[in-house]
Amino acid sequence: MSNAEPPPPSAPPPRRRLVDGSLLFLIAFATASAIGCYLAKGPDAFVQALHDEVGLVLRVLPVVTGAVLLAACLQVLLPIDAVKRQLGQDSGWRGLLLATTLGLLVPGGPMASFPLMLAVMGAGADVAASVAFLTSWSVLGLQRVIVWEIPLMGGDFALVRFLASLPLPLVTAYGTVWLLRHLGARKGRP
Amino acid sequence: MILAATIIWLALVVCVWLLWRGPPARANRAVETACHYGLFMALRLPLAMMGAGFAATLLPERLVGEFLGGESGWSGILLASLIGGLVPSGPMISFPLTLALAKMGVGVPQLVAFLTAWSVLSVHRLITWELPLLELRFTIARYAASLVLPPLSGALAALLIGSV
Repeated sequence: MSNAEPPPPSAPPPRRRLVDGSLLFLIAFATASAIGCYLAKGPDAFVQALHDEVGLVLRVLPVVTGAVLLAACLQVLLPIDAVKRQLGQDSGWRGLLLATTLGLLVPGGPMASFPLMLAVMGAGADVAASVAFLTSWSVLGLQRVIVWEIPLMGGDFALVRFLASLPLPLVTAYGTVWLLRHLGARKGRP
Repeated sequence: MILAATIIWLALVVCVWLLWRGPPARANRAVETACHYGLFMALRLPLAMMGAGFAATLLPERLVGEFLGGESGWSGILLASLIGGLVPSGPMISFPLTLALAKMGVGVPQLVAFLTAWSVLSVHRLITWELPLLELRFTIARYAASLVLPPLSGALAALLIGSV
């Protein structure tokens, strides 16, 4: 048995467990669709689909391997804390741009980003910046682009979608502020 | 795909060089994170791609192409936006599903609208994360303001690829 060590002072953010609901769901999804394909389309179509999928997995393997390593390096190298510190103090245009940048850099799923968003809002970011952060994390998040989108959809598609999504955080930020004002908001903070 | 692979591996080389020259603790953290990500993805990606591939054989290809194809224009973008908001899953399902849709002839603007809707309008995330954690009025306003995003991104994508 190894000694239980106390966590290091700069503990990394909580990680997703390797086996969780999403993995079980994926196993069920793959099994069900494979059985469905076999029953509905016959053995030949099943073998053909299996062949195609194995080929695709092998083709994206070099890209995915690089992407996963790159995402891990970026998570350690990117100055997320510095941007976060700035955000609490700035509002207006600068705050919006900082919030969008932070959303773009923050890795991980909702498990990581929602607590971070609460922390950022607690640090004094306003409604517009909070919405810009959430939207930017949703549509521009680099980790998702690198790990999933480029390997599966290709660089061209990822670039078009990224460019088409660049204005979205600002649009939602202003839209939300406008709506809250017209819904009769008294407080400007969520 | 080759271009994407080249860019990713070049960026990786730069990152590894930066980590190599930086503090060892940081490099160790990167290695640890990479192992975790690698294992996480190795378990999920093949399953996700298999599942999406088999599921795609079950979808009515002709109907999908007709209603969501490159020629479907605004109605395809709106339909893709609606479907995207209903997909209850993380990226490990939605991206393989997008790939399956692309193979069936769904147009780029429609795919972009689908992915935007999945990421900003996901009903599943609204219920799991936003409603419990954030104020109700804020959540409603954010969701309402986000309704325009999928069609908007689809239209911008159509402009970008010049297929208006």
